[in-house]
Amino acid sequence: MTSHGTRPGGPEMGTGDFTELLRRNGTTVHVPMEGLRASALPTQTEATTVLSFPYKGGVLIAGDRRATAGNIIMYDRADKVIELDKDTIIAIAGSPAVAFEMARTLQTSFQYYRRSQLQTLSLAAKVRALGKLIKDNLPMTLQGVGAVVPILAARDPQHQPEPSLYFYDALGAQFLAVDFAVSGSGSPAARSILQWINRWSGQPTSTRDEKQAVQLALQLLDVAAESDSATGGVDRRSQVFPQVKLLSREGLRSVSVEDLREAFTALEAAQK
Amino acid sequence: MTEEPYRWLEAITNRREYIEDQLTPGLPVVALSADPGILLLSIKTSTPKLFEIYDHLALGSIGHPADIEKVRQTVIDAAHVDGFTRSPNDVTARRLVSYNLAPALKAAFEQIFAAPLLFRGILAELGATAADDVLWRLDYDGSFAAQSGNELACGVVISGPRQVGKDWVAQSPKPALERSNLKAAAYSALRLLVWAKLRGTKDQGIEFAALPTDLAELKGKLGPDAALEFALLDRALLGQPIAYRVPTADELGL
Repeated sequence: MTSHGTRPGGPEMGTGDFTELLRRNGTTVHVPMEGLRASALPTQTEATTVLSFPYKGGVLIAGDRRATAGNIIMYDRADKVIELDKDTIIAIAGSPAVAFEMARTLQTSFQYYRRSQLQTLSLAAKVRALGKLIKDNLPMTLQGVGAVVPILAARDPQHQPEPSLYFYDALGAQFLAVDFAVSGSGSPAARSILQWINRWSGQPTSTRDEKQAVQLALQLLDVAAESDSATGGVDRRSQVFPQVKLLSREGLRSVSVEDLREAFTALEAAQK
Repeated sequence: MTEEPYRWLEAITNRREYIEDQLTPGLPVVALSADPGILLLSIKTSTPKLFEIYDHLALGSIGHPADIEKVRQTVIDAAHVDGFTRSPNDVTARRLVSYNLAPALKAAFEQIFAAPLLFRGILAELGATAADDVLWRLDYDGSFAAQSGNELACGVVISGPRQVGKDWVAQSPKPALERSNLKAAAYSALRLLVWAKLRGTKDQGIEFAALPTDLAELKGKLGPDAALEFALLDRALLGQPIAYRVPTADELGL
């Protein structure tokens, strides 16, 4: 007989908290690394550019595909924009080892809560759940390994059907983004452009349609890749495109590679 | 003293009698594997009897609502811990029943100084095709039985009176249930539900073939104000995080 799970006769009945359930069963999401010295630590696979902004139909959230360790490109097809459920998307920047685990924990937590409590988790609780995971990761962050600074796009179909964007700091504080949210080593370039667009271009992102928004996301990631070696941008030779997802009142949708290729080809053609 | 074998035997027999007596008023739950998925059907009461457990698992249950909750929570916890530490593909009804639920139910049943669990259930597991589905019958004493392959053709039924489920298993030859599409499966499941309801109450000798074929007449047999509770593990959604859904009455033609 396996030891995990609540016993039918046991005293501990469901609170709907999955991380607490893991703890009770001897599985922890984060392992504190007290006592390790920085010089003894391996090179971390990290760095990226993820970005999000509102457009006419909802919010767009996108990320490049590159994962690096120091100056080594480890992988060029990393999926950093992850659907947590049908109304929530996370874009991760930082250590993939921790970030992917956070995303997986949240995916399971949301489903676990819905199934065990027979109701969906509120938007505020989802936003806080990510903040708590980041806070729980503090020992890793303070030791210079495993820091994660994600972006979250989410909506509550019943109470808040319009999607919202949230960004976090490395200690877990959460902020509601109004104009845009960016994260990762290549994000300063994207941030500057988005600030200029929203303040001076006369065409803030919120006035752009879906096609324009997708093209802007591709341009921003391509520019970020120009100045940041840890950002993949658009890989023209291997035809590896960033991930772009859209969240609107109608729900969540991934922009297909074909649509991304078409949008990017149109941008390049306009330059000729 | 209960340490003496005969006293223990007497105590456990009394306990079984008490549980069966308490379960007797329980309304039947039917599970039918069909091409579009696994349909679960019951008669609606103030507390639900059909639940989503995991991506491809659902539970149909009868018993005390608080005990159903305990069992439901147990299997949800086990499934999610397993799915997280391994992968969703490693979460199987067989492992949940054999290594988690059944031993826990048996242990609870044999703790004769503690209040017993009033529970009987069906754990349904959706497969890639109807032939891959498995339906597990579970009882308060930890006993369980799986129905798969050709055995799925006649569905699974549990009811308050234990004999009803046994009678259905013992049917020979088994009545053929139409289950090629959702409406046909819903109609078949409703016939089985009505049979189990009548068999467990006023008309204990009724044969399946003797049931009316007209839908309104069939529903009328459940009582004038009876409403149905139904759920579907939708094969079209298999592989996605949520295959469990509540279809509309129109979809089922009920």
